[in-house]
Amino acid sequence: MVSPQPPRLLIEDLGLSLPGFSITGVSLSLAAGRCLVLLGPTGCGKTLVADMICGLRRPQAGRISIAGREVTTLDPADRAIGYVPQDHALLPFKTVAGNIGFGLQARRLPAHKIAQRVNDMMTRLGIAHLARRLPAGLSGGERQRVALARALVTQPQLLILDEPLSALDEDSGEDLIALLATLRRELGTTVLHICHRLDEAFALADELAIMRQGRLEQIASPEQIRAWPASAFIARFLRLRNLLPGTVVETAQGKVFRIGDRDWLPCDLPCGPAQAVLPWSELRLDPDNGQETDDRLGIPMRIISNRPQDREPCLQLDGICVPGIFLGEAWQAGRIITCSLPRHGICLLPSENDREAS
Amino acid sequence: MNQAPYHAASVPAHPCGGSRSMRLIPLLLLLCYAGFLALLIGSAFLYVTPGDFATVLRNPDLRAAAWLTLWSATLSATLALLLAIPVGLALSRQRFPGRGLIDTLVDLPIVMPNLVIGVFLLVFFRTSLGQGIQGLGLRFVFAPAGIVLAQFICVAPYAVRLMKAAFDAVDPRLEHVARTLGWSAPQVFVRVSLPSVRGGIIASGVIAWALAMGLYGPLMVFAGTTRQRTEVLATSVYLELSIGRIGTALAITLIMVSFTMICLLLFKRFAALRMPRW
Repeated sequence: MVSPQPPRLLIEDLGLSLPGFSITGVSLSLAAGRCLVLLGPTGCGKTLVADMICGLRRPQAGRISIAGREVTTLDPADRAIGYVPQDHALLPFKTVAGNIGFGLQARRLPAHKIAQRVNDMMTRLGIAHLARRLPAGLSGGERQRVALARALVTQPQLLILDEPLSALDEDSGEDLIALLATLRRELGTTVLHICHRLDEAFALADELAIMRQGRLEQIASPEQIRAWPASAFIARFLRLRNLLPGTVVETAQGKVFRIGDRDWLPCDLPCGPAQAVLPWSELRLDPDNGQETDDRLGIPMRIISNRPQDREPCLQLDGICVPGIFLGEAWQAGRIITCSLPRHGICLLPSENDREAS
Repeated sequence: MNQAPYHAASVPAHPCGGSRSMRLIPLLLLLCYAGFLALLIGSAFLYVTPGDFATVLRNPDLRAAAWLTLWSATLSATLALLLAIPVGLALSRQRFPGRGLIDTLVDLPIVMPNLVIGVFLLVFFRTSLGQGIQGLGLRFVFAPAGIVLAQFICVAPYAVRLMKAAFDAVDPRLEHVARTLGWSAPQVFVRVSLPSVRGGIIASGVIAWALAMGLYGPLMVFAGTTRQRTEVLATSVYLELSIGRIGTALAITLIMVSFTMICLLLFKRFAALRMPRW
């Protein structure tokens, strides 16, 4: 039997301690051809993790393997990675073509092969017309493409992008997101993408890893993280709007999650403030179907506003806003509506006191 | 690589809306300054006759001094640069205990009157360590090697300072990316770090060489003024002045100034041609 393919990137229990900051217990695994977005607020240690994967910083604990080969202590040159740092770091004294071919030169390829691969890559990224220009005269988006071409032309096992969109305006940012998606489809590149912007993360991620203060808080698919954030920090950081605050109280039947004077769900969180993440896609608003059953929870809510003229029709219920729903003229503000949600689809989170992500 | 210089191609020379005086005043000051320097040098011709030039050019002692000046300054500037590149790199990149103290120590020869450096050297070579070094066969005191040593001590701090500033201005990420592209650390130094500080290397070399060409205080103390052996042109000027031969002194000076200027112009032109500017 053929053994299954090793993950393209495997990080086990990575640790690094610096004065005033430490990274602890970072573990993740990334299959070939997938894109993992490492997301977190500024200063959470994302770039340090990237540096350790690239070999620019040696971890004090843990192991890093790329394509089944342990690289923890290997020289950056021997890791078969492509790295695009935040500020592109193009060599100012080399032309665009010289920059892109720089990695191939290190592999001692004959000049005509280098020229051919550089040209192919420039054509693919739409920068062939810049070949003889120097980096100093390029726009942010052009530099970004050159840096990307330079990393991709060596056909790396893993492409590491550190905040590639942070220096770009919105339009070039969107162009680059589209370009990255195309490149991944055509080349099958495995990507570790580091960023702090949500739109960028959700547009690109197959998997999302959320980092906070040197630790990984959660790794899952974007849909999963949206529906089941592992902590209130993540819910707040992702600016989830489907949050309802309540409290966990001890009753005769055990602990329950309570909003107002109504008991919602049994739970096993510590007593005190908590919040519910409501799966909007599962929400039913029809008055006849909104009844409580064994597996659906009925929630009566007051309509605050229900206006079709809004750019994105929005039904506001007590304290929360349900996007994309318009009930029809009959449902005026002030009426009570019963909606229902699947009981197993509601994620409950203990509240936190810190306000880091807000 | 034969690219139009970036600044000429893409930086507009005169942005709109800027006040004219912001361009004209600095330009005017520059012209005044350069004009004054030219006047200063030109006024020397009032005291020099063609005969003085003939005397200088015919004098074998002065020809020897010119030759000694040229090779000693070139050698000491080269040595200073070879030291300044690694030392400037270490000062710029490394963090170690006592770094501030060492950084200041390196600057010390700049603030000392350079005559004192000659005295220090003389004293050092009277200690047993200094005598031991002399005993190895290379004589410094009152010898041509001493000229190079004294020039080196005096000009190296400037070269180090400039190289440190040059390395400070280089983004270490350039080197990091080069490592991930497959280059080893020494290869990255040669292919990325050195070309990145090209401007600093040129500036250090020019400053070190020009300073070494005109140095005479510590040389007279440490290496002496033996004709045809340890006399450099700057020393000759001093000696001629001290016996009242102003014409000869000025003739030597003018020859030296013209030669230095031609060398610097050629060097700058050569350096500008080698690679595109950035």
